[in-house]
Amino acid sequence: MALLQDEWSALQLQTSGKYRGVTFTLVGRVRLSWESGNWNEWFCYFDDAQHGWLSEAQGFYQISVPCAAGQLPALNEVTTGLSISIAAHSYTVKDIKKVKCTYSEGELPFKAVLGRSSVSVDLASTGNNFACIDYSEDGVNVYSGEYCKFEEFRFSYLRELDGWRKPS
Amino acid sequence: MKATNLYFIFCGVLTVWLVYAQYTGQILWGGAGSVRRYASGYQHK
Amino acid sequence: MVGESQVKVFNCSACGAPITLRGLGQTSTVACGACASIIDISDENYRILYQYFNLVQEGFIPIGTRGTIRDTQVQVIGYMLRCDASGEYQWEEYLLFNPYKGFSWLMNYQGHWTLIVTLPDMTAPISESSVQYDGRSYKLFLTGKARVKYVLGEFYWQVKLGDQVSVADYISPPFILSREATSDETVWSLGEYLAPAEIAEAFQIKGPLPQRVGVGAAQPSPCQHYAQEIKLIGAFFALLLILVQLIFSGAAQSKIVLERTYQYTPLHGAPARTEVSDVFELPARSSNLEFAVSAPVINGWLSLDADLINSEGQELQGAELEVAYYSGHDSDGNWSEGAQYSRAVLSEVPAGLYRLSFQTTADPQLAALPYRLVITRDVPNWGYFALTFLLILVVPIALWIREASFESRRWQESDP
Repeated sequence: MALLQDEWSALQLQTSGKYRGVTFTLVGRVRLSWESGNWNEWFCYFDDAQHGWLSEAQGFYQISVPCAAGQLPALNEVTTGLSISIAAHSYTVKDIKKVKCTYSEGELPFKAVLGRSSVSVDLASTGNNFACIDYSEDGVNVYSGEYCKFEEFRFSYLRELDGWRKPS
Repeated sequence: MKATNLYFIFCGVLTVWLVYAQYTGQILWGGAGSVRRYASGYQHK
Repeated sequence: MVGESQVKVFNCSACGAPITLRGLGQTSTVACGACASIIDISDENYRILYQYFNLVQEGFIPIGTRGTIRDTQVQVIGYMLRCDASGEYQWEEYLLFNPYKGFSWLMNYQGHWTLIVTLPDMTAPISESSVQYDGRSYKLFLTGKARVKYVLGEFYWQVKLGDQVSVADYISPPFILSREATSDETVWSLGEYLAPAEIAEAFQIKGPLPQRVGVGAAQPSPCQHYAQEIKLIGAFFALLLILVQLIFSGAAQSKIVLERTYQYTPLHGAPARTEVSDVFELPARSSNLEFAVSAPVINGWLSLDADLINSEGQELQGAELEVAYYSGHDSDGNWSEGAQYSRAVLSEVPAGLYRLSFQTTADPQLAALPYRLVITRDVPNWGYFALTFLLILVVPIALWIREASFESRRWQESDP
């Protein structure tokens, strides 16, 4: 798969940030494309030996960690507005997208990442909490996490972008 | 805000004015009858 | 040019003109600046999404302009004209980009500018007429449709001319919550009203900005920030004045210094006699002095003209009192006019010994009658209180009127 040269992000591999007091480092990235656009998913290692994903889409940042799948509906049963219980919390389906991985770099938790197709289901709960269910040929993965503002992560080692001042 | 400070002072002045007027027994409007005041009294016979 | 090293340039698939992409790979469509065709930049071949040949019109702030709003550097990368269902109301929307903060919007409607960010989600309680969000109550201002009329530059979704959404706006000046819904999704955004001066400063605009027409939906009222303080100050002093007045009224001695009944005899053309009362003392400090005359006058008048004489024989103050009372009977029943008493109050009479010198005249038709004169020292008086109280209230009332007029002009534009 061709590397898209014109693609930049404020984040880069080895950028580190803080979430809930725990430092994490971005060690890998995939770019997921869908019908109307694309976004980045950064694979991160937390200092307390956990791993998770930082999603970067149009200035919105979401951090999530894998969680137990529990009882989930089959893909063909999922519709927007549906209520699903994940890890004892109630979530509502907001979005269903067919995605394909169009780029990858760094360390990633699964092989054969490029070209991988899946269906990504976004769910929302109260406050800034959200969940994501990833349906693919190799199984169903569930992640839960939170929307945060860029400043809340206190990133360090951000990419230098010409002419743009990094927020303090 | 400057406007609020001015208003505060204005209200304070009015309050002091009322206290002074009441203390010295000043009357704004004399009543149904007409009252008059002479600048310097003339001697009564 | 600083900051342009990571932009990408390619040739428009429709007309071949060079197109610059500034969105650092985060945008998915761009409208060609030469022919206004809309290109899908997430497609390898840059396929044309919409082609039309139209005059390219730039917005008030050109694409590519950089600025700083609220301490965040931004660049204008997209421009959109939207209108309501009828096409009668049209407004500009500028897509602003910051690589760290993402996207935001600047909307211009009739000279009113609003800075808008999309909210990731909306879980606040919504009723039909209001929304409680982040500690503020937002009132429904309008509902309607918004249709894309024209686009220029880049966007992060596949925008097409004629794209239409249902809109509901809720306001809590200077903030505005907007809901845009299609059959597939609902997106909420939060906007903040900016003064034209802030826009000019943010983008270093030298010339004049578009004139504001009417009152903007989220425009804060000009006296909003001090109206509350003024009202509090006014209320505090109004109560203080009432307290002062009650204290003085309560403490007023109302001491009768002279009470005497005199006899009036008809003059029959002779000049009025001058009478002199006994000496009376006004003790302590200066105070007011009330004269009251009462007489059993029926269908006539009695007038008493009095002067106060002090211990040095000077006449400094005086009063004229007239007792007039008329009554009768006609087709509607009994009627009466006037009163059988009259009072006047002298201001600031110093302490000391006084006598009263007075002349009594009456309606020639009246027979002899007695009249009673009562002089009272230090009576409660509400004149100065009324004056100062009204003066204190003038400012809050004027402010309230101004705000009410501003708000009524605002809500004239509303269309829920």
